Amino acid sequence: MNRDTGHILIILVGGAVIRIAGTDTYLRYVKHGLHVPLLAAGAVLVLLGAVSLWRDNPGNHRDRVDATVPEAPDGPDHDQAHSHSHSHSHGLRVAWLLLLPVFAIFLIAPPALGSYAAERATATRATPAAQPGDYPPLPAGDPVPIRLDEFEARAVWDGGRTLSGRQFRMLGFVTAKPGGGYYLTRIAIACCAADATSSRVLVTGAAGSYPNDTWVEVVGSYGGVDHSREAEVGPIAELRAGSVRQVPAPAEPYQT
Amino acid sequence: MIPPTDTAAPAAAAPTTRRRGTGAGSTVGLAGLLIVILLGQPYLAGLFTSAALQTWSTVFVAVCVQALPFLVLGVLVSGAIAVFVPPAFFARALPGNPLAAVPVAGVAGALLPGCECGSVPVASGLMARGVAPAAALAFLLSAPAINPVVVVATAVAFPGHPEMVVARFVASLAAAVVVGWIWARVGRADWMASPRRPDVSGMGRIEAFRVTFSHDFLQAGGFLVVGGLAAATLNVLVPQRVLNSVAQHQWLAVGALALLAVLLAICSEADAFVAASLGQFSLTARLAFLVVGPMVDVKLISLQAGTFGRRFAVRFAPLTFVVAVAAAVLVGGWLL
Repeated sequence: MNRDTGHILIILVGGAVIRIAGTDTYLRYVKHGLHVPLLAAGAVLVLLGAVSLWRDNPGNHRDRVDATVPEAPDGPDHDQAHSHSHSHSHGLRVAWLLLLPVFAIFLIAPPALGSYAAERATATRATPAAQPGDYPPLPAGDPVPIRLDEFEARAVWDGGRTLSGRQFRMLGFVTAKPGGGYYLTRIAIACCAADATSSRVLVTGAAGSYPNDTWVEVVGSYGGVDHSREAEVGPIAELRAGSVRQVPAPAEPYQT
Repeated sequence: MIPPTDTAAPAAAAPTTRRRGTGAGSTVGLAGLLIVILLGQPYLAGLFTSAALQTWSTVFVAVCVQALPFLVLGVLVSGAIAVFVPPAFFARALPGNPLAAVPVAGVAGALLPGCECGSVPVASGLMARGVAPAAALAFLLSAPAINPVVVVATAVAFPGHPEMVVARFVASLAAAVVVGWIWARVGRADWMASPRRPDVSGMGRIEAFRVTFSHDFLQAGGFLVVGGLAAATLNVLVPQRVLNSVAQHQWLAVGALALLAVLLAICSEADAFVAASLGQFSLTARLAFLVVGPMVDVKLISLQAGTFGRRFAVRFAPLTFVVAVAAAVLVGGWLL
C-alpha cells in the first residue's frame, strides 16, 4: 500500500465515523455517551488524512517540509531521509481490512439488534441490589409508563407485589415465542452492541399478532409469571394486554 | 532542530523490507475496489438479509466503532510520546532496574483513561522511547483495568459490592506486575519483532508526528478489524446458554468465564456490566472475567501480534492468561 492509499483509507474511516455519528445511526452500535468522542475521532482522522494527502504530494509540500526542518542536514543524509519517508507505509497490507467496517457502514448499514439477538441472549439477569420488599410503590399514572426491565424485576424478584391492580404502558419490539404468541422485547447495551442483554415480557390477552421486530406500544395489566420455558429463558413476567398499537422504531433503539 | 527521533527503534530496519506495490498500484486498486463495491451495492446489501448475518454485521461494526475513539486517542498519545517526549524523561521517571521499573509502570497505568485498544500503541511508543519492554508490558496490561473510568464503571455495575472494585484493582495490578517480572526474567529480545516504525529522521516534529500517526493508525486499525471480525463471529456463535450448565461447578465456572472473556472481547469499560448480568456465577468467577478480559482477548491478541509480532503474541497471551486467572482466584479467595 502506498502513502496516498493509506491517507485515503484514513479519510474513509473518519468519514464513515462522522457519517454515523452525524445522525442517530450510531445509536444502533454504541451508547449516546460516545457521540462526541466519535465525532472528535472522525474529525482527527479526516483532518490528518487530508493534510497528509496534500503534504505528501509533490508540488504542495517540498518547500514546506524544508521550511519546518531548517537545520536538516543537506546532502546525502537529507535525500535518504526523504526517500524513506516516501515508503513509510509499506508492509501495511493489514490496513486494507479497514475497508470492511467502512463498507459495512456505507453499504449494509447494519440495523440495530432485534429479535434474533434477543432470543439468543443469555437467560440470566442481574440479581438486583434491592431485596424483595424494597421496591417502592410505582409513581401515579394510569397507565404508568414503565421500562421492561423494571417490570420484569418487580415481577420476578418481588412477586409482582407493586404491580397488581395497575395499568402499564410499555414500548418494545416483537419476538415470536416458540409455539405461538410473542414477547415484548427490549435490548440494553452497556457500551456497544457486543455486550447486549435483553429483557422480555410475555404479552397475553388482546395481544394480536405481529411479525418479529415490529415496534409496538402495549397497554395492559400484570398477569403473573410464565414458567413455560423456565429451563431455557427463566421465569418471564406476563403482561395482559388491553391494547397494542404499532409504533415507529425509537431513535434510540436500546433501553436507556 | 532535533536529532533523528528514532533512537531506540532500529530505524535501519525500515528500508530492509522491500517496498510492495510501488507507485500508484495500490491507489488504482483502491479506486477499482470502490467502483466495484459502489456498483454492486444492491447485490451486496442483499447478501445481508438473514437475521444471523445482520446480527453479525451489527456486532462487527459496533466493536469497531466503539474501539475507534480509544484507538485514535491511543495512537495520538503514542505518537506524542514518540515525538515530543525526550527519551531522557523516561530514564529519569522510571527506575533503571527493570525489576523496580515494572511496578512503577504498572501503577502508572492508572493514568491512561480508556480501554485496552489504546494501550497497545502507547506501550509500543514507550518501548520506542527506551522504556524496558517488561515495564512497558506491565503498563500495557494494567492501564485498561485500573484506570479511573473502569474503576467507576465497575463500582456502578456492582452496587453494594465495593469489595469487587477493590478486588479487580488489586488482582489486575498484581497480574500486570507479575507478568512484567516474569517477562523481565525470561523474556528474550528476539521474541519481539522490532516495531516497523516509519523513518522520521530529518523531519520536523509536527511532520514526524503526522507520519507516525498515519502509520500507527493504519497498522493498529487493520488488526483491530481482525479482532472485530473474530469477536463478532464468536459473539454470534458461542451458545451462551451452555454457560448456565457450568455455573454450578466452582472451578469450571472460573475457567469458563475466563475463556468467555477472551472470546467475547468486550471493552474494559463495559465488561463490568456484563459480569454483573452473569448472576448465576460466583463473584470469584466473575472477577476472573474482569481481570482476564482487559489483558487477553481475541481483539487484543490480534493487535499485539500486529504490533509486537506473532512470536511475541503466542508467548505473551498464554502467560498473561494463566497469571491473570491465578491472580483472580487468589484475590477472590482473599477479598470476596
